[in-house]
Amino acid sequence: MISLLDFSLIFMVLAFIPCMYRIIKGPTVPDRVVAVDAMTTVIIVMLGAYSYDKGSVFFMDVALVLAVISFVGTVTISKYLDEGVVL
Amino acid sequence: MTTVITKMITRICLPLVILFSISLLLAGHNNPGGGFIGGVMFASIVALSYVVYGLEEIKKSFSPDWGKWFGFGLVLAACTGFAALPFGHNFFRSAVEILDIPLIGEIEMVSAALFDIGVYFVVIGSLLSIFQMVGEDK
Repeated sequence: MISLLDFSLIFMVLAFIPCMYRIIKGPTVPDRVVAVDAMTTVIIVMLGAYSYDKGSVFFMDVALVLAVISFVGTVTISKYLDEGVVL
Repeated sequence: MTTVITKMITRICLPLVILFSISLLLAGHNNPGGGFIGGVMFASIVALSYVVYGLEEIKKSFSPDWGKWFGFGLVLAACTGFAALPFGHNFFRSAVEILDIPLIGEIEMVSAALFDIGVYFVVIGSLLSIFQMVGEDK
C-alpha cells in the first residue's frame, strides 16, 4: 500500500522534468535562472515532506539552508543580468 | 537599482538568518550543523545585503575588517589544541564538562565547540574579504 506522502514525492520528482528541460534547452539565461529557482523550491518542498514522512527533524535544517542559498543566488544573478554589475 | 521589495525582504531576513547561523553553530558536533555551514549562512546573508543595498551604502554604517575576523578565527582554532591540557587530558583531546545551571538544566561544555567557533570566524572572514576585494575592484 503506497501512502499519500510517497505518492506526492513521486509527483514532485516528476516535476523535475520540465525544469531540467528548461535548464538544458532554455534559449536565454533568465529562463535557466527561473528554472533553477523552481527546481530548488521543489527540492525544498520534497525535503519537508520527506522529513514528515521519516519523522526526522534534521532535513528541515537542510531545507532552510537550501532556501537561503537559492534566494541569494537568484537575487545576485538577477541583478547581474539587469544592471551588468553585481556590487 | 534594486526594487523596494528586495530591500524589505533583505531587511526582514537579516536578523533571522543570523540567528539561524548561530543556532547551526551551537548545534554542531552532535547534530547536523557546525562552524562551516553557520559561517556560510552568515556570509551569504551579509553578501546579499551588500548586493541589494550596495557596497558603499553598507560601509557607511557597518564596515568591519573581515581579514581580522579570519585571523582571529585561525588563532582560536589553532589554540583549541591546548584547551584540554588543564583538565588533565592529552594534547588535542576534547575536554567535556557538564555544568548544572539552575533554571536551564544541564549544559554540556565541550572544548571542540571552541574549534567550531574558530572555523565559523575563518569562513566568514575569508568569504567576505574575498567578496569585498572583488567588489571594490572596478
